Amino acid sequence: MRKGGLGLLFCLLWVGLSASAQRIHFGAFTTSDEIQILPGTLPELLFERDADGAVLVRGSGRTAVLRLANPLVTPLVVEVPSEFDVTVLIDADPVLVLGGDELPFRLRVAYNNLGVPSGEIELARSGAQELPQGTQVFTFPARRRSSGAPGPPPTPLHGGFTRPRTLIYLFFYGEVGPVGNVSAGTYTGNVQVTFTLDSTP
Amino acid sequence: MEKVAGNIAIVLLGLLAWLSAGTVQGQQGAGRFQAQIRATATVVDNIDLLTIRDLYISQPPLGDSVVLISPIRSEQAALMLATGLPDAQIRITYILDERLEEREERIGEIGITYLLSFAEEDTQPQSLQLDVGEAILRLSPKGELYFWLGASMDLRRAVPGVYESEFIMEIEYI
Repeated sequence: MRKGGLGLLFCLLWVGLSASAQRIHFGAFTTSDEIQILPGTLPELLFERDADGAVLVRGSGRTAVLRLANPLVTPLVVEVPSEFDVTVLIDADPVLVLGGDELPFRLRVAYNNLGVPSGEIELARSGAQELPQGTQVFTFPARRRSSGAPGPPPTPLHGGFTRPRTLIYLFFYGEVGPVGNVSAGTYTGNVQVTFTLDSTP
Repeated sequence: MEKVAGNIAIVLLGLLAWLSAGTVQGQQGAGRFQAQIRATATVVDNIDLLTIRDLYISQPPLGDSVVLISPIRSEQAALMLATGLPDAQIRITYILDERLEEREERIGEIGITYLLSFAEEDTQPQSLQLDVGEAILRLSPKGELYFWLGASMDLRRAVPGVYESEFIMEIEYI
């Protein structure tokens, strides 16, 4: 009985090692220029009005709101190879700052991976997938599959081969406030967005 | 005993999987791209409306039926200064007409129509007159707007006495 148990242990170990050795990560074949931001689509988040459309008066206790539906919320449009999965890391400042004063900043993100053509912002907005507030990492296929099993792994680059590409849209919006008894002026903060490509396992 | 060995195998496999995942992550640096997005919020000060000079009419000639104090030309016009966010759009609303009763006897009556003009700087002769009780204006690049208040007074039913009124103007950001 004792011998049988050890035999099983080694067998499993061997299988595990060979599986690891054979795994090919197709992301290793991509270069950074395969993720490209469409020129002029880097958005800026301007929080100037509350839910009633009023400007933010200091000491009012009101909260600035930018909703996904707001035409001021324009997307970051990124061109990626369509066979990959895209992982997005969001690193947003928790507060916007002016001198020593701070305003709480709650970022929301929505994405669209339906392959919407360039310039069709409203179409991209209506089909965008909203993520829960506070999401820091999320992964989605660069081109959403309408149905069926995942496709084959990406074709490795070889002579004369051009990867099919697609557009993904990321919308940034959210809330700033409440505005307490702080200084009047312009508060600023940053959102760092990092894209990485993965092949579908 | 077989069971124990099985448990060990699972633990080791788990460790291996974790190691290989670590390797894969290390390779991901190749397909990586970063973007930085700026977020800003603008907080404004409350709008203040400061009365610099009151509208004061001393002993108007009772014989005339109507006395006019022009907000553009008269030195008797009241002067107010609104301050707030530079270049901000504001909506002002104010009372256009009023009837004033004599303070003591309450016999006499004055009909008053307020006349308001505004300018970005303290230049009354260049100010522009408003003719309805509402307007959408813009504060100057310094965040200021000057207002002059005059009046057209109907004195036909007035008797000698003291008449008092409070002109109310509301300003809000839009």
